[in-house]
Amino acid sequence: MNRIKVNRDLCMACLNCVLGCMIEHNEKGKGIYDLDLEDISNEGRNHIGLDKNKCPTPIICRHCEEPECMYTCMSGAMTKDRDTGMVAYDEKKCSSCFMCVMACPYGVLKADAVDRKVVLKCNMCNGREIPRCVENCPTGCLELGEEE
Amino acid sequence: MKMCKSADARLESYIASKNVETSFNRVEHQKIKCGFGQQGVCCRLCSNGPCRITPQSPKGVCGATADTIVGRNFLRAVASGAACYLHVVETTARNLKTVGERKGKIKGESTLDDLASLFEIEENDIHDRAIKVADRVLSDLYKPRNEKMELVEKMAYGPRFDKWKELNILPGGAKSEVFDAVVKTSTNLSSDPIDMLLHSLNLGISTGLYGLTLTNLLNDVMLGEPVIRMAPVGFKVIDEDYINIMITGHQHSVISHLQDRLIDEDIKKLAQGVGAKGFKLVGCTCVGQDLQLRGEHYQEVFSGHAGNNFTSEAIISTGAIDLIVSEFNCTLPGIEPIADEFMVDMICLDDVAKKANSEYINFTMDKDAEISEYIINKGFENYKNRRKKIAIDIPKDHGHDDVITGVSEKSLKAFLGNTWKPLIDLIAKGKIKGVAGVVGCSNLTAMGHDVFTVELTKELIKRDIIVLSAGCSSGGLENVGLMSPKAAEEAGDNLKAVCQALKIPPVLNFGPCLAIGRLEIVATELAEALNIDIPQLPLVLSAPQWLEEQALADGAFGLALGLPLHLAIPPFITGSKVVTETLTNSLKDITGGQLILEEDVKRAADRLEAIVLDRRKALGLEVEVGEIA
Amino acid sequence: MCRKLPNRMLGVRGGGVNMRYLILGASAAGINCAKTIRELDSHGEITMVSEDKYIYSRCMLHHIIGEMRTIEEMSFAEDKFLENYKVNWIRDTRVEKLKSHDKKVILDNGESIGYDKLLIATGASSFIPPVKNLREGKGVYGLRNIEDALRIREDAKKVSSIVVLGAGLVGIDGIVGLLEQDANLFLVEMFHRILPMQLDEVSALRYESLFEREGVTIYTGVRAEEVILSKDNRVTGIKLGNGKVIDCGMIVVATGVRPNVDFIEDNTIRVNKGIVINSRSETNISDVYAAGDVTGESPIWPLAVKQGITAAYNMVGIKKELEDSFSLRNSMNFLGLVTVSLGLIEAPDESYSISVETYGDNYKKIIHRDGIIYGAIIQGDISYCGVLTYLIKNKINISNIDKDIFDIDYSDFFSIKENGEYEYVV
Repeated sequence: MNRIKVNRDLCMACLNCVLGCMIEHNEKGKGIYDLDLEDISNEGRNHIGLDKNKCPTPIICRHCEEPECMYTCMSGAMTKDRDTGMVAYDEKKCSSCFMCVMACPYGVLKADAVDRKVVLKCNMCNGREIPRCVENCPTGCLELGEEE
Repeated sequence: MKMCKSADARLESYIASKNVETSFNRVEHQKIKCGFGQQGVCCRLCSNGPCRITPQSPKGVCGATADTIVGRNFLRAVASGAACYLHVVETTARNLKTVGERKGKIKGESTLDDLASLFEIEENDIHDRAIKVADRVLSDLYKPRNEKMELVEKMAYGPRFDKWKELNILPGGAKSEVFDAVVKTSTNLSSDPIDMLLHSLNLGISTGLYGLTLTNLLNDVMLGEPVIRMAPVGFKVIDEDYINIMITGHQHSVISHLQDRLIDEDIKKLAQGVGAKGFKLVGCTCVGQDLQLRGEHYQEVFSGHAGNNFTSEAIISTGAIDLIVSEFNCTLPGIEPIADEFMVDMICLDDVAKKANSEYINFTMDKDAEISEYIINKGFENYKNRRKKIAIDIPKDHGHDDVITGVSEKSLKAFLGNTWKPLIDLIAKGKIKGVAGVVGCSNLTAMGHDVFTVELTKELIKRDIIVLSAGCSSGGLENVGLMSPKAAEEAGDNLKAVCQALKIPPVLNFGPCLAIGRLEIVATELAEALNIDIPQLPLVLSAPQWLEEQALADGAFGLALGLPLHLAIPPFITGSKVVTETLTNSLKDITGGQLILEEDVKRAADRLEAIVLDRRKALGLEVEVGEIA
Repeated sequence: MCRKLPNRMLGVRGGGVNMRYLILGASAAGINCAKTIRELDSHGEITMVSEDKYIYSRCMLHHIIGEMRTIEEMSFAEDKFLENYKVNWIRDTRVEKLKSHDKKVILDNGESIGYDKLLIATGASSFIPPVKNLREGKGVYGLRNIEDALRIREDAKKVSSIVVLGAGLVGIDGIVGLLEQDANLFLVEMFHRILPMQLDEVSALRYESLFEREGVTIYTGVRAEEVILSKDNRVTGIKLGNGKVIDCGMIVVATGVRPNVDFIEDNTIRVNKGIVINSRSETNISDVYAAGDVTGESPIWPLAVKQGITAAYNMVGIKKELEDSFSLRNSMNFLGLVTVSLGLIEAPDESYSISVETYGDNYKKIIHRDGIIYGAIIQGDISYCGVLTYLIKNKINISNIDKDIFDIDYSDFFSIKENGEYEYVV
């Protein structure tokens, strides 16, 4: 499958992966100037963590082989496509129990900030050739890698 | 190497053929932009930062909102841009003063007289007159902030002056205004975006009236007034048989001695001693455009304008340049390694443009002869050393021979019979629908080098809107042929007929970016002739490919004048609703101006045309049925 | 879709005949077992027998009571699940007897089905406690099956007051669903707070006040003493241990479940609290596996899923152990307030430290000792809290991480596997 590779040493915490994610999932348009940075409904499905040494770390969905989010999902909203490898989230099926948020061992998931109704979950930009976070990464920290 | 597009296909193919890294290549590796920077919401004014505004972190550590951060960043940029132009007018006025003091040559006596009478200077001696004119300019620039500059009222159009007074944006001493803009935008000082926007307009007024208009006029006094003439442009103007000095900058008066000295017989002989026919100045960047504008007076020494800011790297790579003399921007850092590779020495005459590998000579007008000798000698030595070792590759098929140049507020009016009436009549009859100033820089990001500028210009002339250009935009437009009379073919039927009758192109070349000030004089005089205020004119501005902070200061003047100003790339303000809304909308009720942000050529042309049509309608001028939806 | 496995691994019977898998139950464990078997064995015959008429999520029954979802929308299986995974489903059918010596089951319609591998995932049923008149009364419902929910929904329209007995997750779900109906609601809990297994005092009180604001009357620390019935045995009220009598026309009982094991013959499969299984989901009888609530272990969804998947691997012949049986975890989202509860909810003694952070609507508590986190309650903003789940579950020592305990996140354990997945480096 295609998995977004992370080379943490190259991360500068510029947050442009997060911006890219917000842009791509912005209903108002797909350009940076369409993005209202004061509108709380714009949220990244990825984020940057800082470890104890203040070392920035991109935390981006891995679309795990054994996805905890899917195992805990009791509405059928989380599914793994065995062909593409993608763990997909169907917000229409979701019952907002947030067991997935509790279960993701890497702390990738969160509920949306406005209504706390849906889960913010990477969808690999819906088949976009290069996911926006990868495209927006200026350092090469994020790369799209092909995995067996 | 990957490279970006240019509107100038031959230039693009030439750069592609060379194995020399230029901005055209590097822009491909700078494609990933920081979204916070683009939206202007990154603040690094203190060690708590850098702070960036996101929906999840809507304020900086200090509490600064997006509006405050954007307001500060914007005013800082405008202040820097204003400072640049004020530096230029300061140098120019000081040079004029020296010329007067040493009783040097005054080439534009009529402009001097016009200025003296405008400034109410009564002085019989021409040189004393020059000194007094220069002093009046300098004394305004050096005033403290709480003393208003005196020439503003004399220079500005009355209704505008009144408006500025009402808005309390009349500038005090220009340099002090810049100084306090820097203070205002420092850590934990102003947080008021509206106050900072008004300060930007204040700086715009100093920029426009002093940095642009007065620089032009003082240069006209020293260097000669523009005369309309036909001239060649493009790389073809470079003649390898000469010792070629490429100049970059904006301060034409700095080379005023040099340009005359280069064609003295003894210097020609010197050149001939090493097998060259003489010395030539190769035009590049705005100072080249300024030489072209005054080309009537420099027919022998000036080989012609080769290209704008982003062509400078390619011009060096022709191998035919022997020396680079720079006195201001745009002197790209990117020319340094190319100059080294092609064994071209660089001399810098003003340390504000000091390049890491250039030799710096502190230019002052009183030492101009000495400095000219040094430059000439350097050019001579370089020519001798390098020509055998460097291959020359000039694309002689690049450019045009029939570009109409030398257009100024004066020369254009003279061309029309010393009255604006013929132009006003053409506008009134709808033969010319309106006027658009397509001005400013070139960048590589708005679709590619000059691409937006050229495409927008084509759209506008197709709609019978005559285009006036000044700045690197004109360098691009002339190199693609739009400033040659044959370009009339590309205009709409009405404009085409006008151009063919008058034997002019549909895009008029006012020269360097400084000459945006000349366009604004044209606007003012048209308004005066019609007895209306500037915001009522069917006249719009676009700086589609604005590049630098100076362009933003220019733009602030346009907005203060009450003109609609289009930019293809937002000036790092969209992160703030207050700043964006004010500049793009509420400003219409403040100065009458408005900022138009539009990244699509056709939509930009639509919006500019709609304004022109609205204005025509308001003036009771004919509007074709169906033109206004 | 299917991983290719050599036949011998699939335990194919002599003569190349396909394996016969039989799954009893069509909920979390059963469906996930069937799905996994199919992913591992494209040829085997999979038969699923269930009393359930529909495939639906038992955790969402309040959506039925509250008329927020249709029965179709209750499905947690993908569309065309039966087709895509080639599963033969016999629905609405009870298992009468399991003849494990003969490797077959007898159904209530008299049919018998043989198997090579059997999974028992028959779940559990509501337990109605021995309160006077409770088992006899008409208008008393458990809340376990979709049929319960449908009946509650219809009856709720006919009565003016309803009592929910038990304020665990099921009882609260019941209340949430019933809030969409018009009846007056009463919640009765033996313990002195609601959700006593999941929440501490602070976090429980916030829900109590939210429910009270919605008009629910809550009685905690009291038992139900007696149900008051009409002549025809209809519920008319309930008397509490404190003497209080609540008039009501319906009682929803949410006081626990008992595993569905009545079809198991004595002295065959070992049953304790439920069917006893090992970490491979194997029972004491070979080729018989069990998963989910029928095991009597913690009745949480993810455990049922994982036991079902583990069973599937072992049923097709791939040894797999369930390493993660950590079940003291739950998330809940009632009236817009989200809470995650992990491990211990109170410190057992003073040797534990308690770190608390409160701001706005958020309440976070972490119980730890000597660098090991034993429990946490995260209420309000639960963003990225899965890391805590991992740390608690795996008893990761965090004492060398010099950071506010609430700021510890995955970046402190970051490592990338060769295939690009994350893993923990401790």
